[in-house]
Amino acid sequence: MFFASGTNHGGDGHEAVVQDAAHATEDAAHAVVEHGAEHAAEHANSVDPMSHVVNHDYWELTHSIKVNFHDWLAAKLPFLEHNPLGIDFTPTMHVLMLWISGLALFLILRSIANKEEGMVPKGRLRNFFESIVVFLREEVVYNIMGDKVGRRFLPYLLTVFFFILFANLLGLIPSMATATGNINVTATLAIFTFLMTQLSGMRENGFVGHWKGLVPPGVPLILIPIMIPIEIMGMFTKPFALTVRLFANMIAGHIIILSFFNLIFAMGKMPYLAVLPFAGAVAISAFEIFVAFLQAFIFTFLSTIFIYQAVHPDH
Amino acid sequence: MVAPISRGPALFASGGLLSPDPGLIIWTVLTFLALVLLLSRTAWKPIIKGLDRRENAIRNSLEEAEKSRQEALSLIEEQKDALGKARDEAQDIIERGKAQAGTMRDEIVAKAQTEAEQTLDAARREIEVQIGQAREELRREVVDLSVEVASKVIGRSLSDEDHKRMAGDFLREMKGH
Amino acid sequence: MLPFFTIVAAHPAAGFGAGIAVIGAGYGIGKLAASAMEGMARQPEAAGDIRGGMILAAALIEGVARFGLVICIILAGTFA
Repeated sequence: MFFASGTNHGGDGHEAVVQDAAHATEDAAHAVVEHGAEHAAEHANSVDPMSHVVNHDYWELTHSIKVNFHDWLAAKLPFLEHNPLGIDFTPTMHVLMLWISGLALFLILRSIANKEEGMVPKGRLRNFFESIVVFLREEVVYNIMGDKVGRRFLPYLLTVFFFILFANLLGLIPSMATATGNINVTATLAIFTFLMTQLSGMRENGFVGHWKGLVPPGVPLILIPIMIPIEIMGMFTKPFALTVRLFANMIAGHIIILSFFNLIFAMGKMPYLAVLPFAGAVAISAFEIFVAFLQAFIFTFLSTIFIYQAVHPDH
Repeated sequence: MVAPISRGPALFASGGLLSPDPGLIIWTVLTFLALVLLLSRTAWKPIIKGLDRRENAIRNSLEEAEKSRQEALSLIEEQKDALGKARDEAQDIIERGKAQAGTMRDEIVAKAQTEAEQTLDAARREIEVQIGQAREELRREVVDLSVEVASKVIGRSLSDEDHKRMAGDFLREMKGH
Repeated sequence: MLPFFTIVAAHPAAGFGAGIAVIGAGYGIGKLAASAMEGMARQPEAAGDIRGGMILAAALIEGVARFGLVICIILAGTFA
């Protein structure tokens, strides 16, 4: 067991208390995050928004209960950390969140897909997901790409949408975190779209044709040396914009929510005034649900457009 | 061991907001790839197939409904046409009957009128003839009576010649009046 | 105690930056909404399309604004 509890931000708590005494070993006790002097916040009742949006080795279930699976796993599987590549592969919190959202997505979608297909759709969950799928298929993918091209990219784009959506929404659940608030994750997703763009462009138009598509037809010869660097820059700007947009939106939303939480604690002398930041936190959280859908949609929408532009360079 | 950032602009340092994390990138790649492969096989294919099937079924039933509607509409149109035609025909028949009746009536009336006029004319002529005859007879009677009365008054009988002459005079005289 | 630089430069700069980002985004979304409303009033039959485009464009503007906010947060560096 790797359950451990401690008082991270508590002013006076300095010892890590092992909760599950029966399973506590020297190893586990060592794995517990050191608290107290090292990371103690200056105020007893305040949350550090930054530390809540960045990645951690442990999974903070509540304010003080932390699951330090990283060290536990590193002890069990040492090759994850010490390998010839020099990369620490031991899963961190955001990896765990990716897995949770992926697993939830897989289980929900499989339960929907496995239902006996009657002509009349039944079930709220199924209707909800099917309406999203139909919307993305008809209004986004087929609308932009057309039926023929769209059919090929539909599974990828649907997966992108739902994966980002689940990761976004997971962060709004207490004791969970937003993996899409990590720039590594969003960059990876954007790189997938970038690769999809380049590879499908090359597959569709041939290697030469794809790179010729960088320069729009009808451009004077003298402008070509200027156009090519600009177009190549534009090629990389697109995934960069995708990366930063998703990352910044998720991070900013969570920092705003956590700032409201901090304001609740800041009302120590006037507890009744804490209603205001509480209402603000509720409102922003509701808005964040909308943003979670919106950013997933925008990522998918822009991916669709980019891929289609590469497949049909004259458009 | 990643420590939470607490202060200082340690953006790219471990635990910072923009810190690169190759392990996380690799795990994201693996998770995402696995999800794309798994979902496109187990989820998207059946879901999209089901959607397509439902779409086709709905489109077919809609088309069929449209077809039946069109058929019904054309049937109604036909019925309406037939009804209108029948009504027109009936109207036509009535009109024709009315017209015929009118002409017949006119003919009968005209015929009756002419007949009546003819009868009237004939009757008038007859009356005139009869009046003339009666007048002639009356005149002759009056002459005869006058002659008889005169001969009785005068006491002598007139000869036939005198008689005739007197009667002629008398008649002439009477006519002269 | 926070470093001197943080107090005199980083925090005020972050505050100003956040304000300017919000002003820009507000102006942009306001203009967008005004035009969209006008368009919807002029062509009510295209209201659905206009609304969808409006939300998308607003989200893009908002994304940029949030990007600015994140820069400011990074600039502020600390929340302790």
